[in-house]
Amino acid sequence: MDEKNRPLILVIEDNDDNRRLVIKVLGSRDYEVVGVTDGRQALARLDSIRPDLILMDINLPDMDGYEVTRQIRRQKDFAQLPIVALTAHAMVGDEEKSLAAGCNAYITKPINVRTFPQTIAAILKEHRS
Amino acid sequence: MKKAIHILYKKEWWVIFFILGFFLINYPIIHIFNKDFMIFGYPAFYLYLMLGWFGSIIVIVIYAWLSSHRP
Amino acid sequence: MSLRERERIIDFNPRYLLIAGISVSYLLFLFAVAYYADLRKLRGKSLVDNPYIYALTLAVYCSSWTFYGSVGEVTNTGFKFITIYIGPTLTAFAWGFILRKMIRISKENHITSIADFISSRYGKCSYLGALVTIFAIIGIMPYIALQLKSISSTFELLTHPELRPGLQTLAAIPDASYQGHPFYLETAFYISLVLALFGALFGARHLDASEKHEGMAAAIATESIIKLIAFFAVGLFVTYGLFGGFKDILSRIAHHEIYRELLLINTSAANSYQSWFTTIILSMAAIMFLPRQFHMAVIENQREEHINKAMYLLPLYLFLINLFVIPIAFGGLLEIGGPSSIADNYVLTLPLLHSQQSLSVLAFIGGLSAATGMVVVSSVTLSTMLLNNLIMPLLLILKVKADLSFWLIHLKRLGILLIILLGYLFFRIIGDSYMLVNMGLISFSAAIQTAPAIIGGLYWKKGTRHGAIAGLTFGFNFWFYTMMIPSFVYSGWLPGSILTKGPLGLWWLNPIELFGLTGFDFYSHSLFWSLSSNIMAYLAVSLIGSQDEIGRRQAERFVDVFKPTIDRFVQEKRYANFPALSELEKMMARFIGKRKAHTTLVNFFATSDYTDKLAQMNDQQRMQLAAEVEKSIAGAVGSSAARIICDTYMKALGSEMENVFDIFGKISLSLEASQEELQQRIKELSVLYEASRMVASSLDPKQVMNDILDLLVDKFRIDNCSVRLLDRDGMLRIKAQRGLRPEFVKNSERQPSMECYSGECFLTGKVIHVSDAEKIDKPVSTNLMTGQGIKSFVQAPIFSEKEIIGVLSASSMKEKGYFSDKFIELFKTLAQQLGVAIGTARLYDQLARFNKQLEIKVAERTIALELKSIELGQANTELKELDRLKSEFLANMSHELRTPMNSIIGYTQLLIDGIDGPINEEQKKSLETVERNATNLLALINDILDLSKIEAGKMTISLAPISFETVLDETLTTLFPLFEHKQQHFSLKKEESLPEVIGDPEKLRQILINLLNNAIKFTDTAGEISLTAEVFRGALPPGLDPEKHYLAVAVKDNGIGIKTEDLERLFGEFIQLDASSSRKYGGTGLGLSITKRLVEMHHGIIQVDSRYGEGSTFTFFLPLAEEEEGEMKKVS
Repeated sequence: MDEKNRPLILVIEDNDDNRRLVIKVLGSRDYEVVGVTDGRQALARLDSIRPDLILMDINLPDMDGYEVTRQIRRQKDFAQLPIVALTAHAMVGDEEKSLAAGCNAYITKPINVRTFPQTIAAILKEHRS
Repeated sequence: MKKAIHILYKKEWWVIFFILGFFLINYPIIHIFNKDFMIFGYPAFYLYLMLGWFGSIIVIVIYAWLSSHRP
Repeated sequence: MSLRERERIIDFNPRYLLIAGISVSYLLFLFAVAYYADLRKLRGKSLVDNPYIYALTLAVYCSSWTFYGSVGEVTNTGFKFITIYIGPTLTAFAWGFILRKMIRISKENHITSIADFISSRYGKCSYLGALVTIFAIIGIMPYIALQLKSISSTFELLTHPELRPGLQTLAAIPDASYQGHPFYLETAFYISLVLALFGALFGARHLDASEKHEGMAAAIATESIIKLIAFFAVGLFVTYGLFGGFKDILSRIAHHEIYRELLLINTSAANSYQSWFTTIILSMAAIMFLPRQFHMAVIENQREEHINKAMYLLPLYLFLINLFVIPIAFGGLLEIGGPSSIADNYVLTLPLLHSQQSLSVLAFIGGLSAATGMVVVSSVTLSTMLLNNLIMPLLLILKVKADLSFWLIHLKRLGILLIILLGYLFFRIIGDSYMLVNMGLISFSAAIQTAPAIIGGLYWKKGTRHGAIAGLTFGFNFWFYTMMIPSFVYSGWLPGSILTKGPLGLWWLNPIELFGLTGFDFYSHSLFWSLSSNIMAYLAVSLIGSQDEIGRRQAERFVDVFKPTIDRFVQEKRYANFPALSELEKMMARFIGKRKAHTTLVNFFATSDYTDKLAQMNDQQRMQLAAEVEKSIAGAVGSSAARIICDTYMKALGSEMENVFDIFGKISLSLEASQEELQQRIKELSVLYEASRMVASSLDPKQVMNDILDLLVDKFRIDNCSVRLLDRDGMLRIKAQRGLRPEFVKNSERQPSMECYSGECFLTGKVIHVSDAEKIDKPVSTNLMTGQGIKSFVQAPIFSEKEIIGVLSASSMKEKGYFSDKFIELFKTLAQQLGVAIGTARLYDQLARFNKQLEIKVAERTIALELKSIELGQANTELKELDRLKSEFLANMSHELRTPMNSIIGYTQLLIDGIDGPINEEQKKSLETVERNATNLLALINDILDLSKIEAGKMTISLAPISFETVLDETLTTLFPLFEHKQQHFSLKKEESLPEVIGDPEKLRQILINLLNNAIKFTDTAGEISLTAEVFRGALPPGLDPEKHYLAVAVKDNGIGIKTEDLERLFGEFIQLDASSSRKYGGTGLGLSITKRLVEMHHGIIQVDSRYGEGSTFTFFLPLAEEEEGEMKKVS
């Protein structure tokens, strides 16, 4: 990975353990990772940073992941930003919903620590091209 | 002959005979006989009247017979 | 006194008595014949029913005028006398028609005389009958006088021998009216009495003048024979006894200076062609229209067929009896000579002269016969006319109510006497005058005045009563003026200046040269004026005027008597209140006697038990009965009187002939009459139409009832009408009414019973018609009816579907017998209409009620249904709630269970991967153990969650045509490490390009992973695992749709395999076949069960084939994505 262009990934996950896990895993793979705990923080953070990818947990308190996605998508800058949803694959139509809200892809929890980074890389690569 | 008799069966003959009879018994026919001459030694008029009268009776007889034997 | 005077006085010398005795015996002989004939008739073997007898009776035409007068005529006018007999010969020709018609009519209408005939034809007009009677009497009176004179003078001649020598002395000097002996000394008077007696005996033994007088007919026939024989005898005597036959006499006359001119006519005014003609005309009429001729020819006729013979027999008789007139006359002239006044008696005087006593007596008898015949028949028929046409109407006008049957017969006899005495009176007053001699033709001239009326009446329907009266009046007056007045003058009663200068000097009123008509002889002149004015008046007045109904009817009856008609009774009239038969009988008996009255009714009903028959008769039959009654009375008193009597009688009973509603009657009237009739009928038909319309237009029975009742009241002027209907409680109540008093209505409800008429009508279903409310036998009803003032009523049952539901009633307070049969028919129909309307309305009612019930039921059901659906809704809601809860739970569960696992596995992996820092081998091993277990736990959790989802039906599967290869590749990719880990060899066998399958990629992955994982797990290291995927081409195993195509995917391994007995349990939950194997091989035990469910969710099946220790093959089938045509979708 280029040193000067380490991709920035925004992770929105309210579960501390999960969030730290993701950050650790992605960090070890040479990604810049920023984590927030809920949608509002995410939106606020997005005023100042410009990530290359957002990892969105769907099950968020207050504003749920779909809504956050939609709000992010409303902002012109982030219309094309890849957003990957993290779903628990619990309810019917979760995947479709996330895609409909504006996510580009989804990953089901629990995350496979070993494969998960490759998925992110693939999505980033795909997006760049 | 038979046909002639057949014709006579018609009812209208009585009118003819009636008129004929009336005609014969009056002027001018009787004027023919009402003259001073004799026939067979009889006064003409007398003979005419008698024979004519009797003759009409015969006609009536025939006519009556015919009308009662009408088919 | 003069010889002439002497000749008339009764003188009781022997000769007188002898001749008188002979005369009387002769008359008695005639009477015996008559009596015998009557007896024969009673026994049924009629003597008189014989065409020869009939013809002989017609010979009554030959009176003493023929016997004596003709001879006298010859000496005066030569052959002219023969016209009197030639005319009838001509007429005889037409008898076949005219006479037959007259006879037919007279029989059918019980005509009693010529006056009756005329009166009947012209509308049974009694005025006309009276007029004809008066004319007849005036006309015939002198004729009778003539007969009396001849009998009297010949009698004298025979009984006074001293008169014989110098018969010339018996010059007839036109005398002034005879004055002299009192009548009771006169022969003629007693002759009259005797003749009257015999007249009464012959002609008035029973009352019905239309019955035959067989006795009289027989007597007349006898006298005709006698007179013929007598005349023949004298004729033969004179012709062959005194002379040498016809030729002899004729040639002698022909050579006689003076007498020869008698062989010709038109030699003087008296025997001109004109008078010849006139006399023929007069005699042609006389043979039919003289009262006695009409009587014998028409009234006394037994059978119409006799006419055929009489047609020639009578002319033959006339010919024969006149055969010797000329010889006797000429012989007398040659023998005796003298003025024509004594020539009359040549028939007597010639034999007397030659002392032929018996012959002279025979001659006398012959003359007596001739005269008697004429007098008797004339007086009988004139008396009938007098009685029927003058006296009866008078009695009726004066409302004489005595029992007339007794009186009538005596009145008739009295009439006969009266007529003859009138003749005698005439004879006495006029005496020997000119008049008498010529009376014959004068009577003929009177008789012909009836000809236009009669002939017109026979053939011209338009001949009216007024026309006949006008004609007769004109004719008779002209006749009187032109014949009688001059005769009075000739007799010295009136001044002679009348005939020379005209009455009061008015020349144009001269009776023998009226209006300046000169050149006509006396008779011709009179005939001309009288007959032409008669005919013209008759025609003109008939055409100008119009006929009334009865006139028209009679005209048709007469003129069309030979036309076949079905029903001559016009039905549009009826008697409103017909009397009981017993009353009718009583009334009839008053005129014709009890026995006859009874017989008439018996004949009519064809049974002697007829008292109750009246009720069964309809209107037409009643009319016939009324006509029959009138006819039978007409026989006694003449048709015009009979009509008056019947009408009056009916009126007295309070009934009138009236027009009723003849709805369906035949249109039997002529078009002239039917205008009004048609309108009436149209009105009546429209009533029915309206009623039907009312019924059809409204379903409200009350309205229909009221409409129909209004209709009855409006159109038929019915006073009260009502509709009664049966209520549910079994009571018959008035539901609608018109014209009834409230109390009546209140008291009218009752149970239907036979005690009252409405009940009877209801119970029996028959129409009840009471034409006289006083004559009913239900006391309850009587009181009610009379209390209301009801006189007649009708009740008709109202039917609805063959069931009687009520009664329709109508009543009249005005009249009894108000309702005719035809009306009752209409009434019945109206009741039926009502029935239909009410029935329909009730049906509709039922229907409506039924409907309502249905509606209620439907509403109930709807409510029940709604409640149910509410329940269901609630249940649904509950279910939905449950469902939601389930989903929420699963979701929660899923999340809550997985989240910690995420951390556990994740962090462990992190540590293992050395992301947090390096770790030693020992630590790595421990961590790997943790990781392994955690992974297993997660797998278990996942399986449980899956299974739960599947159980809850929450497992979603989205089947779509997908590429199996793609899924396979992906799955294999993730599994390769595992193969490598156990150094197992994996082989993949598949066709080149597999078609798409219908499946859910995620679930397919799961299936494959499961199966392959199992294969990996249960196969040792370096084992062989293969996966084959191909389109299955063999026979589909059970559980698959044979219509579809499937992909068969088989996962084969050479692992430990499965025991046969465990194969069944394989797909059960939590099955691991060997308790120890789970430790060795791991696994949750849920895998196959989930796999099976998933395959089934793909509409496929999964099979296993395994041998223990050798390995297993798991095959599952997936349906191919097929094109609509059934082709398999190929993946390019």
